Amino acid sequence: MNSSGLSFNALPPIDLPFRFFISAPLFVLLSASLIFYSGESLWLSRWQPSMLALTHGFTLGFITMVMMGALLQLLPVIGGIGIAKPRLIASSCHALLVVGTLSLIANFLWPSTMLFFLSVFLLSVCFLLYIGAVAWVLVKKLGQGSAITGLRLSIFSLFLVVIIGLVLLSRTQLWFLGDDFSLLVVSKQLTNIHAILGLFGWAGLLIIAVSFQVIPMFHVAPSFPSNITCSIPVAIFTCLVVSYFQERIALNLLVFLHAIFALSLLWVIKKRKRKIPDTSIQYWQLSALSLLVLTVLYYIPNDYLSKAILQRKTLLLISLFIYFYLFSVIQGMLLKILPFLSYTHLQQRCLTDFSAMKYIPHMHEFLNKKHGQWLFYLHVFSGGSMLITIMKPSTFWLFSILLFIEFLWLLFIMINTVSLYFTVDKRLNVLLPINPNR
Amino acid sequence: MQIISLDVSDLAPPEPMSAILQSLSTLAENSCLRIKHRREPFPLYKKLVDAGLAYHCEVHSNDNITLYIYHLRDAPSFEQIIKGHQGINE
Repeated sequence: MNSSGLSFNALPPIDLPFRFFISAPLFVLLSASLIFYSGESLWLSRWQPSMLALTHGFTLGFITMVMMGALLQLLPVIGGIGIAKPRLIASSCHALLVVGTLSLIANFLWPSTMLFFLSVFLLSVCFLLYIGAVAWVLVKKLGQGSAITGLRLSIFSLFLVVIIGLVLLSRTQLWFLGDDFSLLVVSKQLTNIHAILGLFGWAGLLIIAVSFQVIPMFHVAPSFPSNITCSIPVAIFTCLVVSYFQERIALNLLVFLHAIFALSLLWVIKKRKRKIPDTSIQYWQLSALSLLVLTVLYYIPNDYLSKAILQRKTLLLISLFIYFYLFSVIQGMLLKILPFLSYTHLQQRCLTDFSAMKYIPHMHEFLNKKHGQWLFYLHVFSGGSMLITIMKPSTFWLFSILLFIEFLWLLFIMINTVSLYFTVDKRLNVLLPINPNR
Repeated sequence: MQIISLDVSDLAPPEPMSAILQSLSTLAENSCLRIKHRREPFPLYKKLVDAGLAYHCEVHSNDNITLYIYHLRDAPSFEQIIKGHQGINE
C-alpha cells in the first residue's frame, strides 16, 4: 500500500483536547462532594437518584469527557484524518457536554421540567454533533485498520446509548403523553441495556480499540495477535446486540471476552522490549487484573458467596469495571498522552527550524514521573476505600475524601503540563514564524 | 540520488520523531531519507508538505513500513528511482 497521494490532516490544535482533559477531574471532584453530602443512603441501591447522579458524573463527566477529547487527537494519529472544522465542533461539544452533564446531574437530584428539557436539549445536540463529525471520518477508508473497526463499533454504541438514555429520561417527564407513550415505557431491562452499551460498548470497545494501537506504539511491544484484534471487537458488539434479547447470555459472553482481552493485554505488556519502570504500564496491569478479578467474582456460583457480598454483587461488579478498569486505563493514558502531545506539538513546530528544538524541555519535564506514581497509589487507595464503602456504607466519608484528593492531584498534574506547554509555545512564537493553520 | 537510512522501529514515542527531524535538518539536495518505522506518522505528513518536503510511504505489514522523505525539487530524481525499482534497495 502506498499512502503518498492521500491527503492527511495535521493534529488539531492542542487546546481542544486539553479543555476536555482539564474539565474531566472537575466532575469527579463534584462527584466526591456528592458522595460526602449524600451520606450512607447513596449506597442503598443503584436506583437511588443520588446514585444515578454519581454514575453519570463518573461516566459522562469523566470517562466520556476524556474519551471525546482523546479521540480528537487519536483519529489523525491512527487513521490519518481528523474531524472537519475541529475548533468549531470540539469547542461546541465541550461546552454542551459540560453544561448538559451538570443539568442532568442536577435533574437527578432536584427533578424539574426546566432541568429536564435543558439536559435533553444540550446532550442531544452535543452527541449529534460529535457522533456526526467522527462518523464522517470513520466512514472513509482509513489507514492502520485493526483499531478502526473497534472505533466504528464504539461510536455506533455511543449513538445507541444516547438514544436509549433520552428515552429513559423522557419516561420520567413525558407522562402527559398518556397511554400511547407506554409503547416507549421501559423497564429495568432497558436501563440495563443502556448501562451495558455505555460501559462495554462505548467505553469498553473504544479502550480495546485504542489499546491495540497505543500499547505496541508507546511501549515498543509486539502487536496484539491478529485473531484477537479481528475478533474481539466484533464479538463484543454482537453480544451487545444479543443483550437486547438475551441479557444474561450476552453478559456471560461479554465478561468472558473481556477476560480474554485482559490476558492478551498482560501478554503483550510482558513481551514489550523496553522494560523500564512506567506508571502507565502499572495502570494497564491494574486494569487487566481488575477485569480478571471481576470475571472470577462474576462466575463464582452464588452458593459460594457470603450473604453480604451477594447483596452487593452487582454494585461490586459495576464498581470494579468503572473504577478499577475504565478509570485506571484512562488515568494511565492521560499520564502518557499529556506529555507526549505537548512535546509532539512543540516538536513539529521546529520542522522549519531545527535549532529551536533546544528550547523544548525533555518530555519527562512535562509530567514528573514521581507525580504520576503518587497518582497511581492514590488511585489504589481510593479504589480500596470504594470497595469498603460498598460493603460498609458508613465509611463513605473516607472514600469521598480520598477520591477528592486523588482527582485534585490529577488536576494539579494536568495544569502543570498545560502551563509548561503554553510557556514554551510562547517562547517558540518569538523564535519561529507563526503558522496560521497550526 | 543518495539514500540515507534511518531505523526508528525500536524507539518509543517521541524518539522516532526526534530522530527523523534531526536527520531532516541535515538532509542535503538530491538526498532521500529512508525510514524504517512501525507505523505511519500521519500527522507529520502535512508538516512535511508545509516545509517543502515530499514523502512516499510503502506499507509492508501492520507494523512494518518504509517512509521516504526528500526535497520537493528532487521529486523527478526520486520518481525515476521508484520507477526503476520495486522499492529502493540500499
